Amino acid sequence: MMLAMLDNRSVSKRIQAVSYSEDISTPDEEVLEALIDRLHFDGSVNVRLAAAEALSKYSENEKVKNAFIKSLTNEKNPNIQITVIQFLVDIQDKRALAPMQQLLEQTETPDYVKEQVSAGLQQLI
Amino acid sequence: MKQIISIIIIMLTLVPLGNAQEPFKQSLSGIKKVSLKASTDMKVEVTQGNELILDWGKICDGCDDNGNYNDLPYVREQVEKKRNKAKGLKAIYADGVDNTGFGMQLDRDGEVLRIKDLKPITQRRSFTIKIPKGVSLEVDTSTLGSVDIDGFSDELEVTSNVGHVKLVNVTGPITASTSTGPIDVIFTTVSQNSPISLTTSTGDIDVTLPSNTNANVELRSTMGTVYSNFDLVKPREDGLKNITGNRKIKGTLNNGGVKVYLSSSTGDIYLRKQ
Repeated sequence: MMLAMLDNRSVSKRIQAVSYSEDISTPDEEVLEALIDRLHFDGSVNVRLAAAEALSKYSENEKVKNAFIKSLTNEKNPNIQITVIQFLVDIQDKRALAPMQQLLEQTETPDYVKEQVSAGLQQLI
Repeated sequence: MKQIISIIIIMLTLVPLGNAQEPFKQSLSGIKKVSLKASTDMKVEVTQGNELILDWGKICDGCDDNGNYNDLPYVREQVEKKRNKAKGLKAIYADGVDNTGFGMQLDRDGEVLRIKDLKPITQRRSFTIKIPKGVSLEVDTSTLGSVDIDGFSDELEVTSNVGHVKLVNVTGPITASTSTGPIDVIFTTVSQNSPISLTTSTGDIDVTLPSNTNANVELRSTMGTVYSNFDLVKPREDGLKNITGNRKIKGTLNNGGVKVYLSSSTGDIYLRKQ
């Protein structure tokens, strides 16, 4: 039911579905993949952010780690970028170094995101 | 024949020259959601009927929100001149086809009615849309516009960039996101149906809830400050490391309830009890 709800047309309902997944102690791969799908492709910033927060709990999962790395390269919303950076720095995933460096160099990256990136880079190296 | 002509003449004199066009009306039978995209300041009101009502809006300097310019002779003259120049021609727009006569494009997509304002903010400074109860609303003003909504009790989805989002006398469910625009929301009651999520990059978030609201609140500002006069009970320390490292404040209001999530990168967050 939760999986079907993740495709609901209502943004609020999709966030609710993401929240339900947080109540499952050990979600199966199908649930994680559905959440990753939301993180990468949902049209709503609110849903992508909720998915990022929900996925943050599964820091041991390779799929989840890869998903955050991919999001770091593609995501344009500063708020989600910061959430993703914090996760990757916390789990000390060195693969984040290159895309983070790239964010620093891009002119369209807001200053406050760059600030977070710089702080993160110091903790990663 | 004479009679018909005189009737026509009477009718013509009854229509004041240069008066604002009648509001655009559209039946919403079978429609569950209205999706509105515009780059101007939008006001949303709730109407008792079952029709969607769209005003012309402020389409010139000196016009009022209904496009009226009657009481300003100079403006009237200018607009008349322009109208005469365009006689026999149709306004065409880069972004779509005006099928309303209001400079807006309207498309029905199953249970969703999509409205797109084809005029830029320089041509339409603001407009008002009235929506019947029971229809949810999605508003997107991702360029310069702002959103003001009063008394809406169905589901709301709002996206704005630099413009403010001001929602008064609302109940949720609400999801809203902006870049630099501030989000202000005053709830009358809080619907327990599904979550409320407000997020900004640099704009402040200011939310007022009734003191008896049942909710699970999560407040996070990466670089800003969170203010509240609610007693946000901190969950017990369970000794587990918070892996996200987010400075997230979690609390329950009146034994908990629907999720209220407020998040900003650099903006401050204000959660007020009323």
